[in-house]
Amino acid sequence: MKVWMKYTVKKFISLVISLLFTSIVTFTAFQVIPGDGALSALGMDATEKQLEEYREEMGLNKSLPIRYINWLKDALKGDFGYSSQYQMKVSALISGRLNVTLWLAVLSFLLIIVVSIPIGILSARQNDGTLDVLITLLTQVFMSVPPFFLGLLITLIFGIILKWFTPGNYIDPGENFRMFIRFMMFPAIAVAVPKTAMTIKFLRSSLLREMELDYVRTARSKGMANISILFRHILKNALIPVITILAMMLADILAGSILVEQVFNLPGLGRLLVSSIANRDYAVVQAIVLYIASVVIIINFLVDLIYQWIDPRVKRD
Amino acid sequence: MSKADTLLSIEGLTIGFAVRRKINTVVDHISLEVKKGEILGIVGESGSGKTVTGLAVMGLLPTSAIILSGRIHFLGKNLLTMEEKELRRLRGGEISMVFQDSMTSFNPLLTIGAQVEEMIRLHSKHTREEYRALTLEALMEVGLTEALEIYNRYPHQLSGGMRQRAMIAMAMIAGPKLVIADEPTTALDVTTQGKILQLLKKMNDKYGTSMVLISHDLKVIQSICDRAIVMKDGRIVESGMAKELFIHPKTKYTRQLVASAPVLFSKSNGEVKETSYNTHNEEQKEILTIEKLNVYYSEKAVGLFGKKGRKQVIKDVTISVKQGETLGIVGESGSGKSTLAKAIVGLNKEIEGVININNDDAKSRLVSMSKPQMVFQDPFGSLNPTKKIGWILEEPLKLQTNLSKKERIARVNEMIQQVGLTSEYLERYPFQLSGGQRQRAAIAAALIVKPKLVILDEPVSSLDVTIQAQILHLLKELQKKHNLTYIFISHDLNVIFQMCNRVCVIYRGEIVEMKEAKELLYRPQHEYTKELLKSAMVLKT
Repeated sequence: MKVWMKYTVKKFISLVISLLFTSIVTFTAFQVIPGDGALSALGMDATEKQLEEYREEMGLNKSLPIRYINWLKDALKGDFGYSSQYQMKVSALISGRLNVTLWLAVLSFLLIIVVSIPIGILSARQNDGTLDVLITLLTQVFMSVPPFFLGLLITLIFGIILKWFTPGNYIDPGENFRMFIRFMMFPAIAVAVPKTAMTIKFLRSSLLREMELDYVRTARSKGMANISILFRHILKNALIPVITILAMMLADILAGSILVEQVFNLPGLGRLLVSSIANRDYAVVQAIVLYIASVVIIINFLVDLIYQWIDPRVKRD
Repeated sequence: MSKADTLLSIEGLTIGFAVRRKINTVVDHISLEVKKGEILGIVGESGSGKTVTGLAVMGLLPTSAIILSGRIHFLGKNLLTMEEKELRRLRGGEISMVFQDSMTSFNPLLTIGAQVEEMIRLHSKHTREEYRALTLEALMEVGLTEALEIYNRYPHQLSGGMRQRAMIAMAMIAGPKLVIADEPTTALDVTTQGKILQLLKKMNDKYGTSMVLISHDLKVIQSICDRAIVMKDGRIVESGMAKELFIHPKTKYTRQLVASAPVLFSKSNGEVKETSYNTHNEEQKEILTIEKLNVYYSEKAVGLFGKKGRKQVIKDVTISVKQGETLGIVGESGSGKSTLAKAIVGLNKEIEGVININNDDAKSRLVSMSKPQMVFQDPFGSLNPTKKIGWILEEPLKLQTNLSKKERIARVNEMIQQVGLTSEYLERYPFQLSGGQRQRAAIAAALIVKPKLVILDEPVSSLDVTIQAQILHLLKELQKKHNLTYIFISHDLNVIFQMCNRVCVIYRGEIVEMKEAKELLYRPQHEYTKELLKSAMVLKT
């Protein structure tokens, strides 16, 4: 078997084990939380007999491992139980909300990459030039602005003054996809700006660090032009630490940004999570916690794969 | 010499570094010439300006360096006034460079093949297949016979020697007229050093490529250079034919360089100098005995449920060291010499076998004062950079003794003077000291708790030769004064023969030979020892 396949399989097995482990911990944690599942489902008026029947029907009388396995079987089929708050299936509830969060994540993540990489390179190339000083100053400012405040500013400027979108008027993608994307661009910008600034700063310092290294001097001694050295030799090396940061950001965005969702009135995961916690809708909370944990684990898996693709030293053992 | 013979000429070159509004001159009005087909050696200690001179020719000076005056002519054209585009054509195509550290000088993310090939891609026009064929040919030429395999390897997958060969292939592939090799063998083992120098010589013979060989090591310069230049503090101190220069040095500095160069090879009259030994007494008691020592490193588990592997680094080593003697341990990098040292001081836990320190006096083993101490190769890395020297020296006393503050300070003051520094240095941070001073401080830190046994792991390898000689002298003095026992680890046979009574040669974790130093030098028995001695000799022609 080739080294990279071995590595991938190894990482995949550890991915599956991590996911299983996370699900066990999450499931157990929610079972240990005080409260009677039957009582909360049927209400205070239920008789002891009704409760007993419900427990029997739902398998609540069985031991924890059995209940876990039953739950896992359902979960693998996409059934995460019933939301007491919304009176609908958790899976249907979440998938609607997930759609919004995923689109927000995709749009803002694309923005981060498309904007930060060229600006980071430009800033490093002009090291200590006027442009670099300006970029550094701006990144410093934008890094420190909280996204929800940025959201308010964007709403004010683009929504109220320029009227490029109607604040709070979320458009369902099924209704009009183009208008949906157009609306989503604004919260995406709010999410992306501070993260873009951080990425620029990080990429810039990573590039500058790499430029000092011996292999760059070797490339110059070959008579290579600086711009070719940057793209052929330095950039890949400099991106290695940046990828870690980007992955952390992606996980963060995918978990839903409650404040930005609130500001733009988006029906996303973050707001669902908050209301579910407030209403003790544990089936939903459990599903979201599991989703967030899985996102982090899967992203880490992908990052490992990207590393092995970029850096030959990763495959060493 | 006629003008037509001159390839490179430097006239009155002065280079400075801007440091806080001041200009520090590092190269001071030097003039030199390199003729077609010759190998010019530039020898000097660190800070002498030899590397900066090389980089100036390439136009690769760091941005903080300023050329204050002078001219550099290559084939009649002034390099300092040349357009960047024209310079780029020269770099690699006409003048190329071989760097010291082949690990960091290659891009870790690209294959060796891609990086060597890049050089001809930049300087000639061919088809893809031709580029590849030329690259493979160049790799073969430098002795990388498995060229096809090497082509697809990454830098970290090759040994230091192979990487350096690849670097030479890269420097030669575009057919340059001049190759500047800056300490090309310094990072290599002696056996490999000789081979790399021979390879450079072969390239010079075959293609008539001129070379500038920069080194701190006289042996290297003597081995293949036609002419040599001695540099000190940015100036040329002496120059002449390499063979003459070091046998009949004219200036004081060159004499000093030759004198501090290791004894074994300074045999101008064909006789090996006697090394100064401590009187070696057979009846002295043993201070350390090691029996059947095996040391392992655990390897990362293979596969998720795979068993953790163990790699044996030291195999069945049995050594005894007598009080007051110096036992040398010599071997190449990776042979396990440092692992052995760490096992003795107890820094390595995965061991089997018996290590007895002071075994005649079982109680004293419990007393931490007689624990063996260690001095490492890189004093910069092993002294805490955020603490002053005084603090560093005092700390072990705080931990291991009940001395009062006053007594501790008295001891620290006494120690710093014994290693040849003054009390002023106690107030300095490690980075404010020179390499030699730092190593003195490291020695003081090791001796402050009055150990009987000191393990010196390559204590002078990172130092210049004249400083090396001073430190070795200091170590001998301290040994006499405190009746210390040394275990002296080095890859450098010269240093070993200067310091040690007995020597054990370690190869792949096993002791292949252990005997009196003189015996080993004149009557080596094991093949590996012979090879070691031979390759050390090859450097001296």
